[in-house]
Amino acid sequence: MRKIYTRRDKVLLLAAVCLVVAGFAFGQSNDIIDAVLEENMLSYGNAAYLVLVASDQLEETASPQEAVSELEELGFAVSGRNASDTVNFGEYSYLLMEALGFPGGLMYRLVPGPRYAARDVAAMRIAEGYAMPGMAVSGERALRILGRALAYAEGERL
Amino acid sequence: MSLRKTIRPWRLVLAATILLFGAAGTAVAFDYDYGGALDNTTVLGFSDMYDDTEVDQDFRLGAWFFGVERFQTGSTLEVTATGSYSATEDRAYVFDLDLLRAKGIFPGALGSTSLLETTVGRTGFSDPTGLVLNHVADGALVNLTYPKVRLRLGGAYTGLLISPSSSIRISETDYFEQSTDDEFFGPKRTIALFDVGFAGMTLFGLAQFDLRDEDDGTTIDTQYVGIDGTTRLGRSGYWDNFLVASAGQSTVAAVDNEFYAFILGTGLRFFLEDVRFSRASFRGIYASPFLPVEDEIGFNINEFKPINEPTLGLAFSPRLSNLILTELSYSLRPFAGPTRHPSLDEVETSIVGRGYFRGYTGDSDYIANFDPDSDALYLGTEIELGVAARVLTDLGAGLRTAVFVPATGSSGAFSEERKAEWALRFDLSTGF
Repeated sequence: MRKIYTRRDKVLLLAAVCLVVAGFAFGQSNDIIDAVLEENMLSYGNAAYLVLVASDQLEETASPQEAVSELEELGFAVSGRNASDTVNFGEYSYLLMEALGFPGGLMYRLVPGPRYAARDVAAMRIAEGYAMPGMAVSGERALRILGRALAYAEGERL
Repeated sequence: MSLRKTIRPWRLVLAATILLFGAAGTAVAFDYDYGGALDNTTVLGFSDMYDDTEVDQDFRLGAWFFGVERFQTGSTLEVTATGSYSATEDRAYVFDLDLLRAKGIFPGALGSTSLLETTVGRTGFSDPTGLVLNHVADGALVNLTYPKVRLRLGGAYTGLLISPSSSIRISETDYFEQSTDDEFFGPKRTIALFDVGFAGMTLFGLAQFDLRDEDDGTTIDTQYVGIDGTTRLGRSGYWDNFLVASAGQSTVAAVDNEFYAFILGTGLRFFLEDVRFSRASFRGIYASPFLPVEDEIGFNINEFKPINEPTLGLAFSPRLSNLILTELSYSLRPFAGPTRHPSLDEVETSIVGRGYFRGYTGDSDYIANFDPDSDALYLGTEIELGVAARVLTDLGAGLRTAVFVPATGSSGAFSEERKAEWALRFDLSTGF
């Protein structure tokens, strides 16, 4: 069943991830945030859009499809994925780590990918709650994680 | 037909499993992760008392699995399995099962504000002080939490723990078995615990029963009742107090004995996040010795016997029995400023001072070189320095060094033959 978000819910959630919203406040990005919030399973296109806009590597007026193309150019795309496909927690963590330039732990440096990205995102306390590579990630959780990741990147302790 | 024959053990296990996890509802998602771990601990000991430098090295290669099933009701079922192959200087043994447990978490199962947690398998069991029991065992735990009260009930068996992994040591037979390679498994004991927590304090009961025959040597059953409480002091301080009274029944060479003992302690803890995450603490613990007070109270007080021995120091770690321990510690993260340091933020340095005293002048025969003519209680002082760091998210390292200076001469309990002891411990751990 699709979650129904009231305007108040959206405002509260957006306030919680204000660092993200600062880059997504207008036009196209607002529509995409609405779409992300309604996703029980985050789509690859929206994941790409979120991490690239948040890391200033994509214009907020771009589309999720363009975000996927940009990921491929940047060299950390998840192979074989279309914009409408879903991403799991490990894949989203990997996009986040690469986009924000987190060096990761020993294993991530040796074998960068979703498996150890999920571990590092949990170890850095960016992700709260269960953090297993293959688990589904909702749009709402993805935004929360992104907000905490940006705070971490700016030197905050989580 | 006896009850034992009618109720098969597997049916009891099945019934317990259904009771513990049956109320979860329909599953909506199962997720899992797995990996490995590599740990090394090396401890070097130096002293003029030793013939050579003592080296204790523990190399552990482990594997783990964690899975979680989530249900429509909001309940979750977690499965954790952790095993390791350990090689030590003393004894290399086959793969050991460190944890194997299923844990159900049921919010609202017994009232809208309740949280019910049930755990079965090999898991950690501890009393609220952590000084009487803090060990893994095979059994079940039920926790029921309401906003103002917590209840916990548990039972466990310790006879399936591999002997080198078991520090369940109470009787002299237990310690003898620990020093030999003759027993594959640790002492066979059952443990029962119950506690209730409210308003910053916990009342608890704990008991262990020796399942071995008297023919196997000394058998000891012990029971403990206690109170543990914490009072908040201002914004960042805590005052901890506890008292545990115990009774025991021992059988030595077909002679039954009863004994009574106690342990009490107090402590202060302060955490100052603004001062580079400083932590300062003091604690004092008194573990009863043998006290001949039968004429005054009708029975003698005996040496306190915890279910497993807590580690108290690095260079010197006596049993928590006939002991007064005073400990002052301070730690901080020197590179942790107002914002997170990119690489050195989690480097932590610490200094600890410990004063050891015996509670009564009777000798403790497991400690060498007491002065038989000394009435002094002072055993000595230990100073420990340490630095620990999470170098990377999956790489941790620690270095601790300590010196124990024994008290000798007219003011000390030891003879001149007892010399200072130094210890150096290095820990390295990573996961993959």
